[in-house]
Amino acid sequence: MERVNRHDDIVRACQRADRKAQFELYRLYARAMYNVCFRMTNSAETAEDALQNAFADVFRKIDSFRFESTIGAWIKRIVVNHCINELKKRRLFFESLDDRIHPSPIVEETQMPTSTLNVAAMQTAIAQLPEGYRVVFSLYAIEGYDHEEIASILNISEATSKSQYSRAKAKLRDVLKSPRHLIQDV
Amino acid sequence: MSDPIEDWLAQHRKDLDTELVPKGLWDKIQNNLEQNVLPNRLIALPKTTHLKWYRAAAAAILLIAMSTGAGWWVRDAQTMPIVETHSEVEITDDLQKAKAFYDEKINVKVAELEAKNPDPSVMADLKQLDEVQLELRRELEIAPRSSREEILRTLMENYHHKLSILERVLEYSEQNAEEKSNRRQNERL
Repeated sequence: MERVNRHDDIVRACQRADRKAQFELYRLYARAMYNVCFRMTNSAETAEDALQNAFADVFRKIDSFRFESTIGAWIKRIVVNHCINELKKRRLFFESLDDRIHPSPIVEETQMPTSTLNVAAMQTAIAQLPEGYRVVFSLYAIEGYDHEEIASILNISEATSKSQYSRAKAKLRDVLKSPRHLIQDV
Repeated sequence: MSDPIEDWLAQHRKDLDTELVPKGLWDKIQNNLEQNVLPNRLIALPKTTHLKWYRAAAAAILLIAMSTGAGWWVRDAQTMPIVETHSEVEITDDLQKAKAFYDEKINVKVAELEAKNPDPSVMADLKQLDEVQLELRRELEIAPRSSREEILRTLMENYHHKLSILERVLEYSEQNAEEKSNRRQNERL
């Protein structure tokens, strides 16, 4: 509770445009949010641009934060929207989310041993996913959004979000099973 | 059935955050904030955002319209041009089309209203809406892309409200003139 109150105080100070409080909020969330950006965009440069614009937006809009959610969730939603904006600049993102362009059946799940999994292997495998798969997978499996929220964020149907996620997982499983997945270009 | 990938991620979620924030990013954010400041008039408004201020202004004008007429008439929303924004070019195109659509109708209504010697306070309030439109258009030019759609929507609402107010005031004015004419006729009888 004490920690929540401490953040509330920081947020209130940010609402008064207190630059020290803004830096404190940035310090608290920048790393986690940069990693969100990096996973979604798969590019350090794009992730940096997205995070820069997102935090500038956070401080401009913080007056509208009503303490109805956690400040972290509120910031993350802004960050995710900025990542989507950056990805939209690359038209391939839209195409890769379109089921009509990439029709494929929902794949059946198969077991795989988890003993071989490690952070580096998982990061590399996620980075090898096609953009649309990677974004939906990251939002659902890592950032914790449900398919309804993802549908709203990406302006796609819930069914598309579910099918993209299922395909992303199947692809990821294939990549992780491959002994050469660290160098494989999917 | 549990999924091994999901299970693994649930346990190692935080371990995935291995990337470090690039140095100098905070300075860039500060520069970004300083470059894209809002117009002075909007900054000076205490404890309210420009959009809230606009809504307050619109609400005040609605009250004026209601006090001079018989309630608020809402036009069919489908008559408004649909604005979907995807890029700066599309935003500009949509804005120009919508602006042309409303300007044409608003200019006709303003001319009709001016011919009827309206209450100066109504014209002053309409002028206030014009100023809000100007501020919103200025802000649209400097706002980050993520905010533009909301500003554009507010701008369209502003046009829509102005046209609706004009139509309501004119309608009331015509009803009032008709009632006066009927009263005169009744008095003669």
